[in-house]
Amino acid sequence: MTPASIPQAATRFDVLRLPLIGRLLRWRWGRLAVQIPMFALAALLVYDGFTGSPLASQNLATVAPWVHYRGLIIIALFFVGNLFCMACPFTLPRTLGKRLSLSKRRFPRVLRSKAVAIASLFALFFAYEWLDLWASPALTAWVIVGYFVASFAFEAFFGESAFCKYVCPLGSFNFVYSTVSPLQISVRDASVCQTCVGKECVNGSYSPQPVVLIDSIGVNGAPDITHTHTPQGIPGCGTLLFAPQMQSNLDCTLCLDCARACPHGNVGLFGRGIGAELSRPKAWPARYDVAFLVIALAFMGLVNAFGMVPPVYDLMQRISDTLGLRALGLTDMGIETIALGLIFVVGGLIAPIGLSLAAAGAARALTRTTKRDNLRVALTTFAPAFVPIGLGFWAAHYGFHFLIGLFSIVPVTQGFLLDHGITLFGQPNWALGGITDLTVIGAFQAIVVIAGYGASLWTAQKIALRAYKRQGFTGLLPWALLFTLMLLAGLWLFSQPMEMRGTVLFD
Amino acid sequence: MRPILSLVPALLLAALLAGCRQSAGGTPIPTQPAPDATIEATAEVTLNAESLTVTIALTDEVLLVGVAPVTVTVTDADGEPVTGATVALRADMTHAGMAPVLASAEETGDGVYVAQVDWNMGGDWVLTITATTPDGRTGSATLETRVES
Repeated sequence: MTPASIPQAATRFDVLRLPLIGRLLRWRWGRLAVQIPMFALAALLVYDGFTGSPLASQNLATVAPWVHYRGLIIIALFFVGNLFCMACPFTLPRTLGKRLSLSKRRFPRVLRSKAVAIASLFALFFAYEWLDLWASPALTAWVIVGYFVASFAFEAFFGESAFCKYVCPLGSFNFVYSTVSPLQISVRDASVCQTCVGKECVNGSYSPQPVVLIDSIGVNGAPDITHTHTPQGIPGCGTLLFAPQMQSNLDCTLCLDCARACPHGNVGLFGRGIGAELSRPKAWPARYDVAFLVIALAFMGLVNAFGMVPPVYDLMQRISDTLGLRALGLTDMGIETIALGLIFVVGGLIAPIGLSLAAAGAARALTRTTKRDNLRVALTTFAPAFVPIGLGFWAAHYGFHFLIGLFSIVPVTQGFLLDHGITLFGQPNWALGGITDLTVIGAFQAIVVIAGYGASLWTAQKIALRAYKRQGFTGLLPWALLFTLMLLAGLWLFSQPMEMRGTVLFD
Repeated sequence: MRPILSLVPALLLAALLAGCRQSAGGTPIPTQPAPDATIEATAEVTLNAESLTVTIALTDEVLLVGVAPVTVTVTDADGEPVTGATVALRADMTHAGMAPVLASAEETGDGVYVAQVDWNMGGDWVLTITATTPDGRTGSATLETRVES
């Protein structure tokens, strides 16, 4: 079944039909070809993290992930799609784990939700501030190693891509913000899928022994269209998405296994409007866990940035004074753990859940739809509208580091090569940084935050008009108020000077 | 709500990371013990290397964003002032991606050199001084400090 709102194949741009790149992407080893360089890069970062300069600004392990990866990921998600998951190096040991398959159990049912992803994102962002990952090449290297171990272990013990779908914080971030991306997996002709025997896009074309599948029987009773599953077959969708029913990029790693496995060549990577799925009815499941992932991630964008401006230190001091933490004999580190933890829990979990439930409740009451819609429906209907404003916050934060350190990777790489006797690229020019005019960066931050806010309002308005018809404006009000509060918080936050302290000292 | 139970692994992960913090870090930066909240102004680091001693003094009470002088004293193994040395300063923020601030110090006499360093952002900084005499002897010192916005 193809949603009516998706244009037919003939009118759609399909990346997999492009002359060179399409062929490369459809190639059996196409994903591996981009994963291997990423794996080598990850190994290099780990190596430099453990053996290179302890100064973060002179080490590839800290410069590449915290400056360039984060900036490039926002650009990729907005202009192309979930390219990082496509090239993810962590899935290489995962494939090994899959082959070992110590257990074929499914991921525990109680954990099969986005609650784990919310928790892992929270843990990563909190650890980033609390452990000062941005200042420690060695700790960053440990994070990368931890990723490899976790992806291997999850794949070894569970019979599905549980790590990607439920656990990985990087993947969860990419899933959420790839919903604005201009590319999406879909099918060319839905009728082909209706009669497809093997549903290889989700089931895969792998079989331990060759198996012939009959697609069509001719007039003489003999099979006239067949295809074969073999040990060289392609796995189906790791996150169990069924291509003809996909209306969203949520959970799509863009691995393209669906396109490679389809025996009919019916799966494509099609163009669409940026953020098109956000206002499309029923594109997302009406689940609390999905909604809270998106909403919490937008708030975490604020909280994460708040951890790097001077007011956070004043607030932590106030929390310490109010709770009498110093009097309890706690060390500075102990006080910071509690104070920063409280800020993150309140700002990254309690506020998004509480405020969004309040907005949903208010919208129901104002539009007199309390009998028609329960709170879950009222909330999840508007959850997609949090994507643009959240992306704006993350773009402002990551964009700051990316722009100010745009070329810093050059001297760091030169320094690394010189340390290993490679003089080909000369002496590093350490003065090479990026955009030094903070006014320019501040203007960029204001633009992306306001643009995100505007897109969120526009999306929410479309949703409100669809959900509440003539009461649409009334139903929009609580959400518009919440987005406006978030906008003001974001503008205030990004107008603060950066102050990146590792050591926090309390009175 | 049952999915809430899945927050338990995150709490365990947080506890695990708490353990990591005590043992984290790579090769230590050669420096003095971490300064307390107000000691930056009087912090001094001495490190002997190839017979030169380099001493750093930050002359402001509390470092704020902006240009501030850094005074460097260079002495030889006998404690006598070294004149005519080339003194280079490099200030790195501890955050990845920040270009270092580079400066050179002017000699004011008796082995004392003064540089104007542009502390262009609040946060933690690592200041590295390298002194080189005309006859090729070198000495260096490193100091961690904090700049407030």
